[in-house]
Amino acid sequence: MNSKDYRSILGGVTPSPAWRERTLAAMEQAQGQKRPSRKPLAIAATAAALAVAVTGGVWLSGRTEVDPDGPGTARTPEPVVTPTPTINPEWIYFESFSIVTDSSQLMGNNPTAGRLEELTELPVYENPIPTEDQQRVLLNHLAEELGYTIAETDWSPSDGEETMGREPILEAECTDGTQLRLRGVYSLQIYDSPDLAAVTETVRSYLIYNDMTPEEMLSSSNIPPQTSQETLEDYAYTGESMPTQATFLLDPDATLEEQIYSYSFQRMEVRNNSLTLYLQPGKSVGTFPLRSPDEALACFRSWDYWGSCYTYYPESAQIILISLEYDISVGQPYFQPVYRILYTQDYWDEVAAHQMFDGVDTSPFTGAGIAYVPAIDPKYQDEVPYRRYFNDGLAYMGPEEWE
Amino acid sequence: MPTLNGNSLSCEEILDRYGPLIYRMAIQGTGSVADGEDVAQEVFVSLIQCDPRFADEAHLKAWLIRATANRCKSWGRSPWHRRTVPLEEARQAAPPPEAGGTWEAVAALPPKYRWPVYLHYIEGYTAAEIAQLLGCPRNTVLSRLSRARAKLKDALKEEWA
Repeated sequence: MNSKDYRSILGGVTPSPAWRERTLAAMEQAQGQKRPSRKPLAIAATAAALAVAVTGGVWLSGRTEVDPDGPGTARTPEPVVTPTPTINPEWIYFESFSIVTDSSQLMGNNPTAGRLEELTELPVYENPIPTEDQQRVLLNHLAEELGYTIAETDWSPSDGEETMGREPILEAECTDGTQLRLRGVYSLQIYDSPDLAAVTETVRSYLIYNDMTPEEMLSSSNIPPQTSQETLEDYAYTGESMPTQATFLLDPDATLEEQIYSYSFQRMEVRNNSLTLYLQPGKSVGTFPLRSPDEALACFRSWDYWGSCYTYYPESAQIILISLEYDISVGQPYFQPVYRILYTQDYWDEVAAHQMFDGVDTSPFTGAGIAYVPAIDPKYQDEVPYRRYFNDGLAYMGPEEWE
Repeated sequence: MPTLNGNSLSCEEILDRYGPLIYRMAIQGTGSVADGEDVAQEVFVSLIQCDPRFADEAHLKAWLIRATANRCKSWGRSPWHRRTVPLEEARQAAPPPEAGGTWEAVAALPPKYRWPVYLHYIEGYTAAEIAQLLGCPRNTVLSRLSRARAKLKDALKEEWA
């Protein structure tokens, strides 16, 4: 195959008459539904606010330079003046975010909120690549613990790109129709259950008592671990609420490092009709110094972040909350801490209204985005590379992405 | 209606002139005929809703091409697509039946390489024209075309020429 074949194949593709007819009808219908123009005052206000900030010289831009021969201490980025971004109304409609009625709906209950400065270093953990046999042993154990009888199984190696190949998947159908999906050795998804409420209670008990011996469980002097909860709520284009209810272990007397560990790895989430139990990671590969929350924010502002949400104007985003967690999303080479930056844009109410379906009262809705920035000091990121994937592709937002 | 040099463009006129270009580009960009058709339709509807005024045809074409590239990108990441298309199904998105490995290899290129290849080899644009359409320097387009050829050579196990 070469370029001539490519040209002859794709160059010959033309729209079908049916597509043309449908598109023409949609265009004609859209003529009566023009988007509201951007609020000039909102743009002016944003520009004015940015202008004030720039005048004050407080904008940070560009990556933190790393001197390979340096003493190994974090360097503060040089304050530089960033030009006032011009918000182009043609592009904001292509931005991606979660629909919410208030951006606080995605704040959660992370133990690091307001305590980030206490953390200067954290361990990074292995995400081992299991064999099929190892996965079968683990799934059988989990099924037994949770009271399931497996009827059929189906194992598949990951067909994702590069590091996504770390994740073989073992699926099982149980005798009561419940489906189990074990990803690597770090998460078990349970769905199609005839009684999700009962499963939720069973898994919660597993979460609490898994690490206790039978003697500890029976001892009246042994207090089982406490749990905490968080609800993250966003909405479908229909206006339907899509809450995620998470339960995680929380020992209020534990160190913040231990609390983050439990928040990330001793955790279960229920969303729609599916429950995901996160399993504890492999051994630590070392403890690494962290960059500061301010440095992470500077990365976001200068288009150096990860996630499925994105904005063309990170410079103008309003930051709601910065917290820290271990990234437990698919395909992690290592489980490592990331800063989670929750933000919004003042024009996302208009964009959300445009995205949502006809007939939905869009007035309560706006948008909230989450950006992830690896927390490990950049000097060490070659040792423990960070990845985040979305829909089978790297979800990285760098300046080159927009060129 | 969008205007070009002060003259209104009808929906039929827009589709006749730019329909095939955006349709092919959306199919290449999404990796699926069904998704590509949806994206292409969204781009044209968006053009009507935005009601922009274009100084010349190059500006209009650049708007459509960039809108399509961005739609393709946001299509895979949109909350709706995320909720309705499981990853496993998304991976099975079918190329045109006659397309074979070449189409897939180009579709698998990162966007910054894919679009110059598509615009050059399918739509016949020069590097300078692509630079104008994508809003980047001509030398960047040339280097990306060169790297894309190398990647395609690796993927297809034969020279891309």
